[in-house]
Amino acid sequence: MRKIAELSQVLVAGLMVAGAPLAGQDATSRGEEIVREVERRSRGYGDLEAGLVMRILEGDRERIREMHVRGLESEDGNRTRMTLEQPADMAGTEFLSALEDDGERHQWIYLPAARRVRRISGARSSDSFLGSHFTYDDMTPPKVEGFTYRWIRDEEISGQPGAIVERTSLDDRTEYPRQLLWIETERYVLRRIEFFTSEGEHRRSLDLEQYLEIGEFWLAGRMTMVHLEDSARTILEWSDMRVGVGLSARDFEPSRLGR
Amino acid sequence: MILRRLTVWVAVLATCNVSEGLAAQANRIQVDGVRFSGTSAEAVTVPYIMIGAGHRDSMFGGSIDLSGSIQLDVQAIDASLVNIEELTFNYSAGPLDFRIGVGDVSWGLSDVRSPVDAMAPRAVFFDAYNGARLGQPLLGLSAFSQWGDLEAVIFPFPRSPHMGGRLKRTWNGSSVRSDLGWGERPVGGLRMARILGSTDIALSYVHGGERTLWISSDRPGEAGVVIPSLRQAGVELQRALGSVVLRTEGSLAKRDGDTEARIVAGAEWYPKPYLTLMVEQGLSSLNRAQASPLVDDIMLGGQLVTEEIRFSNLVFIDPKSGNRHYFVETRWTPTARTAIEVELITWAGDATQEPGLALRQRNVLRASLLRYF
Repeated sequence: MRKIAELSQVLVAGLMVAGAPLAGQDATSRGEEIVREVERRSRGYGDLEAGLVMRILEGDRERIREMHVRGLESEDGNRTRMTLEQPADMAGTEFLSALEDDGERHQWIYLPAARRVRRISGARSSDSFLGSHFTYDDMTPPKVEGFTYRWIRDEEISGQPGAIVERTSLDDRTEYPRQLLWIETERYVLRRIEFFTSEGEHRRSLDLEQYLEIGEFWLAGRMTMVHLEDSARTILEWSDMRVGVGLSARDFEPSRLGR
Repeated sequence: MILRRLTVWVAVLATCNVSEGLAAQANRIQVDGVRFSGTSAEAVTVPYIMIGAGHRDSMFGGSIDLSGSIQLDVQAIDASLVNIEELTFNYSAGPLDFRIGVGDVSWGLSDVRSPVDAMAPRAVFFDAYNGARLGQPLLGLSAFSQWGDLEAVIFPFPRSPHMGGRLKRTWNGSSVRSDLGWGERPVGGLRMARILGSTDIALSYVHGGERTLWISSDRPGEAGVVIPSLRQAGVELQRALGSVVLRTEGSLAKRDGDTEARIVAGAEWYPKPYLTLMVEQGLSSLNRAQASPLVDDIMLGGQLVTEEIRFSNLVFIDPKSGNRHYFVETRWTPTARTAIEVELITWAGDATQEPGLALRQRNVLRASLLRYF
């Protein structure tokens, strides 16, 4: 259950970007500059509200999670509140996740049957998110300083100017230390990430599509994470996204869960 | 009369269109078969049908919350329960939230034996420790500030604990009356909650008639549910330390002239995303006559959750007598809208060491089929 609580520190923050061009230098500094620009443009949305459908596909089997998501960006960090609507037996269950700027996570859960709010422990970054093929690492915007970068080449992406950047984690405990990023350099939006193990094996791919312009931000309306070994995948789809809806810190207090 | 109320309630539930708003809880139909063994109050199998639903929507600049259930005793319709758990109108103005209607508050941290949670009556059918919470008319006001969240609640016409099942007998054999109506001894409370880093702290005060299930005996072989007068100060603390969450809550209460201090302290450990292990100790300064004998026991528990199976168990151990109460539950969810549950409640030890006025519940087996909609 606690896994659900992290929902989208980045389902919110990491996918929202807008754009203008950059100048280029050597491969390292150009790669980092592109990623910094993506990161810079992912902040400042304030608050948002949206519906989210998660489809987990494994062979012939499909599992669906539906939830209502509220997010708040503040000086102290990001807060996300999720209300589950599906599966049916979990309807009304709420999760509140607070990610402080220093990286510390706080999480609470509200169970309608008990009508009680309880703090739960923070998830490990490599844990599966909601039983899906996303991990908490995938759902949290990584700090730019946590990687080294290398610009590989410029390449057209879906008819738009773009670049491919390699990033390598400075944390040797990371499951996928090497990643290749496909970035549209018109809007500075991520279009694809390929994940490699420390042995260099390409294990997973994340595709980001159906970008929607909401206010001054761009939102990936659809994200697909594919496990290459068995072709199992998870698809995240946003709906009814609204930013600047007037949510405040009080809406993200644990005592507000269930109301 | 009860049939008329049931009909009206079913009509209310049927009009709920969950797709237009958020579900406040799962909408479901549940069929139970409950077997009480020969060592319980009665050796009998009881079929229940339960319908539950919830809905939340915007209205008049505020929001409406609705959730409720009908628990129908197929063999004894008068022992059935209609429970509007929540039917409240909520309105926000600046830092203030108003709440009016029928509902409850759930203070405290322990699900089974919170010393702080004294204002919420429960319905007892086959499990003396985990009955459904009953909604009562309430007025609530919350204020949000940099100092924390302040909540004030009054139940001006409160409900009494409900005993609709076959548990109307205590360990010493007394038959229990539960003829209290609504409105006896109103109750209200204040609670201030605040987050300090990784620690949540809350302070509370309750004044009025206590709604925890208390049983008093006025003559041999007979006992009755009572509403004691209560003045109680409470404190709650919970803190996350890595994959462990520590919880402590305590109360100092003046109840019908007797003073009692209680504390419940425990920890939950999440070694894996699908596994939770729990330990909890309760302590009381009094020998109690409450319906639960578990107040000062050690609790050990675990929960294993997979996509389709949930297995949970709790055991309460009395360190003095060694008596043990077991609660074992398995839930299988073969499809997204169907679940099957089996629950076993059993007991082992020396019966003479159990509190005489605790509800007797030696061996109960429940099997349930749930369908969500």
